[in-house]
Amino acid sequence: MRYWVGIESTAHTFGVSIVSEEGTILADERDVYVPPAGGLQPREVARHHTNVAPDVIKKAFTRAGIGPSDVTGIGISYGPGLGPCLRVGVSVARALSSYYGWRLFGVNHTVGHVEISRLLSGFSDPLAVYVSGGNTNIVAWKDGRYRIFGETLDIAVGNLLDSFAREVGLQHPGGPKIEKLALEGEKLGLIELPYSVKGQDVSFSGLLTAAIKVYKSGEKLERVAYSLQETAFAMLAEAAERALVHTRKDSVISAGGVAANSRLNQMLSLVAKDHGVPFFATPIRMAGDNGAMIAAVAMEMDMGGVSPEDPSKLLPTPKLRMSDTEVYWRVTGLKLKVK
Amino acid sequence: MEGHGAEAEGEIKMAVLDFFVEESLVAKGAEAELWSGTMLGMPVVIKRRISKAYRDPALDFKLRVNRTFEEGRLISKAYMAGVSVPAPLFIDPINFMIVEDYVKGELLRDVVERKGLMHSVGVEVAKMHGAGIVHGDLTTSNVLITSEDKPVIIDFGLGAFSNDVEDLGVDVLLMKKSLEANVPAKAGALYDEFMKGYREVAGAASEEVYKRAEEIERRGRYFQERAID
Repeated sequence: MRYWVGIESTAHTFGVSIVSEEGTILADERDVYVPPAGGLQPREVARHHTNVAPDVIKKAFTRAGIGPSDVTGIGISYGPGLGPCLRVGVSVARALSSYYGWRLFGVNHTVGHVEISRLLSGFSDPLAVYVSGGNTNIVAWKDGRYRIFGETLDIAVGNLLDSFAREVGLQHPGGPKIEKLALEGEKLGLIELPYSVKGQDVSFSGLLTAAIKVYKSGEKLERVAYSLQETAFAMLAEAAERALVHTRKDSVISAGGVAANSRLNQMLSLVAKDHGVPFFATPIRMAGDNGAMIAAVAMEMDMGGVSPEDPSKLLPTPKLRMSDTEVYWRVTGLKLKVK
Repeated sequence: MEGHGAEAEGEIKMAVLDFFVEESLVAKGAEAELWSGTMLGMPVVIKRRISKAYRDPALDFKLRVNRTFEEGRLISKAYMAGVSVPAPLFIDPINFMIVEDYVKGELLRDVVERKGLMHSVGVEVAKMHGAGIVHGDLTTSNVLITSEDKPVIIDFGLGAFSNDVEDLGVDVLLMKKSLEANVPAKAGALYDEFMKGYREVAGAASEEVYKRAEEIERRGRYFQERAID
């Protein structure tokens, strides 16, 4: 049996996972940095990752019940992300790769999110709505890459939720707290906020400004939270629906941290149902950043004939777009399981 | 016309049946159904915005009425300005319905590489912008090509009245991205051809639009990479 290790360290999460060639996630360990107040300070997060790395790696091997000599390859999430955080993960992966002779694969973090969701769904070729703190991409596979068919023209949807949360005094991450408040705010009714869909693209900055303004004018937080979430997600659902019609894909998945939101998943499932295609909502644990998505992609790349990286040459790449990476190696017909 | 919502929609449909005949569902788009039929014997396309179960009912109603009303105004203005669009015949926002002249043609996305086509698309888009109209969803799926290779711009559902270079830039960028998504290998050349046609009509103003489109594209990238995940 062959095994692949995956390391994720692009932002707040340091994650290590081990996946077997039959598609079982044997271990998925992580340590998530929570800032004492406000947003993430990249250097603080990097320090956290450095401190927890040895422990998280050990835990993953203990959980999986294998040793270093059983490992075939290692994947590292080398971008996009926060430079100082990326450097920790990339250094660790390079060291492990050279010391143990594991085959090294640089994994595009955004592709990892889409791939883990797709592999868990069992769908071969879905439209993916990838939503997180830093990314809002509606993508579909075409000519060996994930092409971006819709995206934000300004800020990411997770950034919209986090920024609003910070502005009204909620702690990071704001998404889950807003989701809870929104449930209470529904009965108060929707406040009209800027709704901006441009083709298959969306724009959230006007919505953020307006929501903050409405809250500061004395409106109840629950009601603003409902209106903000409802408007933002309706925009995403509409953009996704347009992309679905345009690309003619036969299934839909959500991916990324914001895919943990059940209201968003509900909306996307209704869009899919309207067009007679199945929808898969990524389980919460696999929606946020994790090592399993990196291990799974490393396995796919290795199986798909990608040449391993030279451990002394792989560098962190803070700016990397989903469509920058070739995904010709995509494995279909494999349904990933969690042990 | 009293009352809004599903019941009223059903009643009105019954009431206008003699005037319109809906023959068959031509296409189910993202936000509307397109029916072919006749209006007083004339072949027409009936566009009806459908309710979306996924969104808040108040938001759903508002979006459907406003967009039908706006689209009616936009297509009328474009038609009168001589832009190649289907002739608007009947506009009924409260019933989320627009009736247009039936245009026979292929989708641009299916014939996009045919010689000279993107050039004429550029010409029509520049005429539309010159009339103070932005399309808002300018993709290769929203241009029909007639048997005489004449482009007809359809679906003004996300359009707006605007002369703002930012909005014009978004239109141009949407077309560029649509080409990149559909014909990755030839998108560059086709986009150049499109801009050549655009320039012929828009003249000096086209340079600013072209530059703004590039700027918006860059901004989208940087914003997502700067943000904290």
